[in-house]
Amino acid sequence: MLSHYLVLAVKVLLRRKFFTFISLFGISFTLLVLTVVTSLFDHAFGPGSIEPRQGRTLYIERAVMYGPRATWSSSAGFKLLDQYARNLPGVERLSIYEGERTVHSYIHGRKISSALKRTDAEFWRILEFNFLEGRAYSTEDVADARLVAVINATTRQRFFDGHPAVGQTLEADGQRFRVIGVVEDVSELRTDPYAEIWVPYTTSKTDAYKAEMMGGWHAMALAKDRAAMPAIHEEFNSQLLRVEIPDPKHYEAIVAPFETKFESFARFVPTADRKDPESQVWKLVGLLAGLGLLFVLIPTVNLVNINISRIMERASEIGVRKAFGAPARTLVGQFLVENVLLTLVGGVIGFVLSILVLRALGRSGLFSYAQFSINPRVFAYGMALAVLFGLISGVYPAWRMSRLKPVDALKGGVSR
Amino acid sequence: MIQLQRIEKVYRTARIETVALADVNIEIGEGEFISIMGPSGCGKSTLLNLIGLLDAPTSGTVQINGAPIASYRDRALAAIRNKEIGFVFQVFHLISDLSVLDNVQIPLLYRRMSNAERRRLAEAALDRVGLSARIHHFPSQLSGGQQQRVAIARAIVGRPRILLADEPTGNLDSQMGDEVMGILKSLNQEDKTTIVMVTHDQQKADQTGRIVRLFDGRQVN
Amino acid sequence: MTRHLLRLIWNRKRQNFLLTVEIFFSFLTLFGVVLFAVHYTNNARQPLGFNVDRLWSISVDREEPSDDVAVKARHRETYRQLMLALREMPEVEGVAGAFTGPYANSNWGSSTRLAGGRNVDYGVNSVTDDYRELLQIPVVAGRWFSREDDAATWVPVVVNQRLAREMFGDTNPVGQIIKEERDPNDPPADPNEKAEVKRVIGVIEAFRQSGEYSAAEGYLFYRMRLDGPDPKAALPERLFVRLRPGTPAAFEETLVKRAMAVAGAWSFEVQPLDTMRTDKLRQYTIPLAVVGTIAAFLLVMVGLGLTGVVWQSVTQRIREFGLRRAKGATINDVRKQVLVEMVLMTSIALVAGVILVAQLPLLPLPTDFGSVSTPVFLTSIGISVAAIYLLTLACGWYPSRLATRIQPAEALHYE
Repeated sequence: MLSHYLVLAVKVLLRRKFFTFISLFGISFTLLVLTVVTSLFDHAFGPGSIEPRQGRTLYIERAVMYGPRATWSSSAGFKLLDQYARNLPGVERLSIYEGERTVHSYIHGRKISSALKRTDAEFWRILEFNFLEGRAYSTEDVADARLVAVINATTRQRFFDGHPAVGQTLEADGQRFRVIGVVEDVSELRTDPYAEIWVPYTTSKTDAYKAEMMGGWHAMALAKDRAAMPAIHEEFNSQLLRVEIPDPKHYEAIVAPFETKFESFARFVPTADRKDPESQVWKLVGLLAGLGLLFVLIPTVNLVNINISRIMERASEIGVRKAFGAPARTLVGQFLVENVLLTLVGGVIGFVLSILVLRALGRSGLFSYAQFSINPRVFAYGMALAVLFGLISGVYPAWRMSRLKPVDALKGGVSR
Repeated sequence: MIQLQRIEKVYRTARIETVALADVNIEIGEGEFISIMGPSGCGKSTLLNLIGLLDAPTSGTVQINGAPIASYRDRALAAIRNKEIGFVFQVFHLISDLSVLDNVQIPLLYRRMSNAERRRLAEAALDRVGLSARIHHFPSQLSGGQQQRVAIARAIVGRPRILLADEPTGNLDSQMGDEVMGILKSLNQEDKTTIVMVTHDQQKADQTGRIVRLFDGRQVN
Repeated sequence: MTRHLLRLIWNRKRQNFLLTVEIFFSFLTLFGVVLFAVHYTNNARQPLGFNVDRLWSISVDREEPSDDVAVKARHRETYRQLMLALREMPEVEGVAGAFTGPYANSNWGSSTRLAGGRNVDYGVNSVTDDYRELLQIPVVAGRWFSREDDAATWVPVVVNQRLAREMFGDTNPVGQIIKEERDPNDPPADPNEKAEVKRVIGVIEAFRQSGEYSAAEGYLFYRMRLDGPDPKAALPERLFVRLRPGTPAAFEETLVKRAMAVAGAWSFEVQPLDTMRTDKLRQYTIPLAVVGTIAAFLLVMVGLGLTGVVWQSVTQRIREFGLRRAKGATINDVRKQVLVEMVLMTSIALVAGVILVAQLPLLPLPTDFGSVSTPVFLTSIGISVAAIYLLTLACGWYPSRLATRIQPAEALHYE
């Protein structure tokens, strides 16, 4: 029975090439956009090869210091993290690092701009960089403020023409570092590991950062397991209640949520209350779902219209089947099979297109070092979206069809 | 076998009501071959559609095998159409994407049986109408008469006890028309199939057992 | 005839409803894109208020908070030396210090509650006296900051024409004091803090810090002094230098080395304003291009879909058309029927769309959106309406031609 439907579906689709083309165009384009967006999100927030344990990693990306009339929102200061985020129960490892900054080097009159990140040694234990040469800096390197650096492959290419770099030195931001390791390029969208040059944070030019409550620093904690994560969040919040506020005349408290990458991304959703430490994730998910729905609205209505036309065109076939005893439910099933088959084909086309678009996006240099690939997870999302899209756009026309009286269907589907 | 009592059918649009049938009472016994005649627009096809459960009357009762069908839901109606009734249309209504064999199998698709069994029954039905040699052809490759014979094979493949034919010879030349009439007569005589045929051809109607005449939606006796 | 057509369309309302919905959403999508495109194009025609030729921005990271008065004094001295050192370089025409500048990603905004409780929002910057000359900012009334202001007992400010109009209406703004009203919801002011009196000393034509595509906004300059008596006075976050014509890009290295020699502990990031301009304009064009491409594909999709639907409905109605033609209706009547139906559906969708869109200015929206002017809004509606009519008529035209090509006799037998 199903094979009968499939054969018939293929024949129908081939016969009405124009309708099939319109449908496929709409479906594949819609899924292309959805897949590319999903893939970008997955690239930025899904577990990656460098952050394989992202599922149990928490981050402090932002801090908000507020008072009755003033709000200061930025990254946390080193002191805040160093004093209050260490030794939280349930944390296996904690790393504190600065947000990357652009530094410039000049070689033979040529300017090289690099993203430089100052980190501690734990950074290399939480993240799994792929070393091409050498090693990461150790706790001793950091403690002694040794001027050593780990660089990425592109930086090795720029400074040393791709020759082995360990043992060589490079100058950045007026400081001379000895290269001790080279790692593979890291995508700019993985904001926490990303940099082109990594150096011990103790090599900062002044010690001023050690006294700052607000500044440009981040923390990343590897929880013992997922269950420990809410407790870490809560415990850090209660630690913050004890923070000595640097400017009590204007400010009364600091809020700095310890949260997952996606939760911290969700903080960019505008909120009425900027000091609200509650998670914004549901708002973000709602916003994304709303935008997604808005986006699929036109393709869906379009596909529904085309589907109704396709059904009306085949009204007499439907009439014949009804006359020979096909229950409405069976016909609806047949039509949905056909529509889902069509959307799956469209999905596959959309998929191939999105691979091309993602590849072009990776090459465009819009995001440094971002190589987008479609992994099985994104593929599964995409196919689920395709089937969902096929069902949604098929249900209303199929319902219209099931209500069609056999006589009217035989006459050519003029419904009254 | 088939009873129609005080059948009325009215088509309503926003401003006009058209009475297609009014106070029609017919009883058709098992094994009868009757024809419905009348000028075009008199309601013959509407009547046939009501008998075939393709449409519902505005008022009155339709009984098939003594059971009133007014209260039946779609599934039950579909089951009766599938098991008890076979249709032949003036314009054949073959599905052009399907081969002759596949077209004939359509009624069997909605019954529980194996594919091999469906194929065997379809071949037998095609044999009955003399088209065994053409089972892999497509409708467009056949003449009008052959197409109508395929349609008859499709109508009888499920061995229904009632065959409804809406001007089965209307689109055929006289020789092909005679062939089709021959098949219908043999189905009636040999298989005892009850046949109701709509026609405006007096000569064809005369070959049937009884004639019901309609004029402006009313029975004329 | 018209009534007959209208009745026919009404009888097909079920089929036509979803098409109307589709046209309605297409209009909204198109309008969104067109509005931004027209807004940007219109903005690009307004005066910018500065000139960035041969200008470089040096953002300074002092690596140390200067809240402490002693640290601040040290930093201020470093700045003085730094600017002196840069000015002495033969390639440099001029140097100025500022909080922020054109095409920078850091903005400073402020809001003043005027007498009567009206709030005015505007962009703010704090700059040294050389800033005007360096950026070639045209002054239209009064004067720019100068040594004359050293002894002033008020805070001298320069505003742009837009802000002057918002604050003082048609009164000559030069010499006016900006009177602020306290917000009754605010906590009581600190009695130790002395309220500052801001007096307008000059008016500049415009200043659109975010560049060509940004909307006109009010703008206010404070005077920044590196040799003033106030120990708490703010320090520059950026320096701007104008280079002599023909200075090569490689001069950057020399410039940074020179700066490092004066302030070794500080970090400098040099960017030509040309580059910053390109980057900033991309922040406007790239999202618009992405959304525009998607919208274009959506419209193509809708166009193809409509063509398909009309095509099917035409073949289904061929019998009917055939009958009419047999009864003497002309080819043009038939074509008219398809087109009238299309125009009517489109019109219903567009009326609904325009009514919805017309509510937009009434909603509380982000300020950049609020600055869309009425002519821009109306032009966008006009363009979108015209484009949608064009699209739907094109989609109705081809199938209607198809319908009229079929001969009546053929049409009657079409099955």
